Parts: sequence; structure tokens; C-alpha cells
Amino acid sequence: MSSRISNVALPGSVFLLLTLAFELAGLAGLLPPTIPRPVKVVENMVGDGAVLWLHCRSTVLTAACGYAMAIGAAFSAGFLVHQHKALETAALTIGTVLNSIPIIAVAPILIIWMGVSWPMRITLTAFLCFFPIFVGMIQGLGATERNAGELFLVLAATPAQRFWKLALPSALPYIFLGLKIAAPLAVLGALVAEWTGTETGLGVLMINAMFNFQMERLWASVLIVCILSAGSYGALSLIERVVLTADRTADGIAP
Amino acid sequence: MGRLSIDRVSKVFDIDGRQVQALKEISLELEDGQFGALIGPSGCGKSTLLRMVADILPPTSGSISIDGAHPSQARKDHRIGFVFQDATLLPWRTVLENIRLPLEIVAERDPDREKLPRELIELVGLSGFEKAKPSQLSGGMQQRAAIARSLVLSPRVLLLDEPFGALDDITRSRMNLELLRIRAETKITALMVTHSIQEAVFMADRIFVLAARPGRIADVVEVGLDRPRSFAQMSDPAFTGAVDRVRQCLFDQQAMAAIDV
Repeated sequence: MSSRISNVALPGSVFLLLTLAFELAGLAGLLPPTIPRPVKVVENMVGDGAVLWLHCRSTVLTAACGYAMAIGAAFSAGFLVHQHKALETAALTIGTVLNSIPIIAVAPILIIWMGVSWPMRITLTAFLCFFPIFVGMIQGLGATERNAGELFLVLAATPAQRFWKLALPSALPYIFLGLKIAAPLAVLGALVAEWTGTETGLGVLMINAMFNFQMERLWASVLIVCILSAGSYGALSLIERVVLTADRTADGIAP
Repeated sequence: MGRLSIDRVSKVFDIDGRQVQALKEISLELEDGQFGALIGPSGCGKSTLLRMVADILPPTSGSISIDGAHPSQARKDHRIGFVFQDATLLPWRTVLENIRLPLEIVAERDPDREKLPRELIELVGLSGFEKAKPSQLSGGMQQRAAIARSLVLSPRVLLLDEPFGALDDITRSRMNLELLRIRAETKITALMVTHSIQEAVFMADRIFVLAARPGRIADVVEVGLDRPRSFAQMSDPAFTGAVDRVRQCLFDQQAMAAIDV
């Protein structure tokens, strides 16, 4: 328990000390104009609350829809590969190749197809999130214990029963690993999509703040993005802890 | 019913293009309700043989029949129960849910069968642990649950792959008695792989002693001890005689192997 406290307390106090240091440096006039005082950033967050909320909502919506779409696609692909083992190498190769395309290069293609639109934003986000979830899925589905596989064989289970009752539950620790990696990527995907010229979103807000030299607003939106990324990761870790009992995360892979 | 017949079964594995004969011309018979034990040195193919009976592996040549049916038919008809060396319980399911698993797989809505898991939990002595997760149980209790699961579809033949190999001696002896009691109640035909000579003699009606490289039957020992068995019989001349004969056979093999080298 004491180690858990220090896990939170140590990074927390370092963060607070840094913030305090910047605040003091700002008050002493030591900070360049591109770095606002933390208090100013917070003031901006309160003052600009309505605007920030509007754009934040848009980003969260894109990230959530793209994330859900990636889960759906990775899940379907994982199911197919599990039912037809021969597809595994091909699927992983294609996945790796697609994953090696920089996301910023995918955006123009999607814009040609879909225009600067909600479907484009969501698809771009899903594209970025798909790979880690898919790899976690494939690794997990392949990590079924040999004896358990033989048990299902002796029981003459159908391939679908094998998937739902054995492969998927035993893959969960790996799937959660993929989901946790993909969650901050969903925020990143949404931002990249917004940079291509959408009307709403924290990405747009950042770009505009940059061009208009609104430093407090720029830092406020960056701070919100950080909170979204870390928060989504944290939320998934909590869900994982509820879904998987302690003994399962430990014997599978490091959480 | 419950008759197991293995007729000149051989198994050749292809390991990196090299042909390795794991088992050569194994023949054995078990009558309905008989208890057979497979004993032999490590790597003699005991587990392979058991897996061929369960239709997990196909034999290279020869035939196996369970009640006159091919193993694949017997497996699909759920006439085979299999107990692994490690209990192989699904960690996310409770004891009761693990034992119910075979019923879910056959997706049968027979109300008589729905009662079976609870009866079996009682039979294997796990009452009160229905809602426990496998990780909360000792090794012996996990194996009891695995045995209950293997019996839930009322198979005709129970195959046991060193089921008590990972247990301490005291637990192991207790589990031996339990299994004999369960067998007496279910009248099931059983074939058990074991490394323990005492266990083989104590449990079995017929012991098949295997020799290695290639795996083959070196001797068949009939155990003429009355049932129900008890530990008192361990000083019976029939018991010690059988133990000596099995040990003799296993040690002769070792002597032969030593000469080979």
C-alpha cells in the first residue's frame, strides 16, 4: 500500500514543484513570452471555458467514434483470423505495412475520398488505433494454453464455441494491452484529422491559437489534450482491473 | 459398453524431416468397467497413446475402437472423458461454471443433466466450493474439479494423463481412493497414465508396462486384488508381487538401455 501511495505521490509532487517553479519564474519575469505562467493558463481555461468545451467535445466525439470503429474492425479481423489460421501471417503483414504509413500521409487520401468531414475524422482516428488492438487480439487469441485447446477438442466444441468460451477470455489480458496503447492514439488521430482543416476540435483551436499568438489558449488546449490522453489510458486500466481478476493480469503479461 | 480396444497402433512423428517412431504396434484391451494403467519410462509415448485414444492425435497405423466406434465418433458422441496432468480449469470461471462447461458445449437443455454438475461436485468432495475460482483451490481440489468436469457428460471411457503427478504423496493417496470410489459409482472404464508403480498396482485391474524407443508394450500385469481396494492390501502378497513384476520389467529395460549405450 505504501508503494502505491509513493507511486502517485512522487510524480505528483514533482509535477507540482515544476508548476510552482514556472509560476515563480514567470512572476520574476524570467519566462519568455511563449511560456505563460501556469496561473494564467488556468485563468484562461476558466474564462474560455465555453469555447474550450465546444472544441473538446468535438475531439472527444471523434476519438471515441474512431476508437470504437477500430475495436469493431480489429475484433472482426481477429475473429476471422482465429477461424482461419491460414490468414494470420497475411493479416499481420498487411497490418504492419498499413501501420508503417505515417498517419499524416493517410490524411490527404482520406480527404480525397470523404472530404473534410466527420467520416474522414473518424476513419483517420480508427486507422491509427486499429493496429495495436489487432496485434493484441492476434497475440492473445494465439496464446491459448495447449491443454485447454485439447480439452475443447475432446469436448467436440465448434470453432465459434472455441472462440467465445476459450480464445477470447484467455486473450483479454493481451487485448487490454492493445486497448490501452490505442486509447491515447485515438486522441492523436482526432487532432491530426482536425489539423487538416475541420471547423471544430482542439486541434483547430491549437492551430488558431498558434497563428494568433494566444499563448494561454494554446497551452490550455495542450493541457486538455494531455488530460484526455492520460485519462483514457487510466480509465482503461481501471476497467481492466475490474474485468480481469488480479491473478490473471499477473500470470498473463505485465499490466 | 465402455470397451476399449487398441489394435497394432503405431505412431511416427515427423520432426524437422526426421522420422521418429514414438510407438510401435501397441495392442491392448480393456473390458467394460476395467481400470487400466499405462506405466513406462519418460518419453515412451504413454501420453501420445492416450491422446490417440481421445482422437486428439491420429495414429500413423493400426486402429482404436471405443465400444466398437472410431475414436472420432466416440469423441463427437461425448463418450470420452479426459483428465490432464494440470487441471486445465478456465481461470475466469468458478468451479461450478468449469464443471458446467461441457454441458454448455453440447448446448443440451436436459433438466436431468442440469442437476449433474452439483451432484458431481458432491461426488468429488468439493461441496461449498462451487463459487470459488480455481486459483483459490489447492492442486488436489483443482484436480477434483477437473475429474468432475470430465464426468459431466457421462462418458464411457475416462482417460487420465498422470492426473496426480503434481500432487504431494498424502494428497495423491487420498485422490487415488477418491478416484476408485468414483469409478465404482460410475462403472466407467478408465485408462490412466502414471509414473508410480504403487499407484498403478493400487488402482488398476491390468497394467501395461511400456518400453521406450520405440514405445512398445513390454509386459501386461493382471492385478488380482479384490475391490473395493484399501491401503491394507498394500502388504498383500498379490500387491507386492505385482509391484515387483512391474519394477522388474522397468529395470530390465533400463539395464538394456545401459548396454545399448
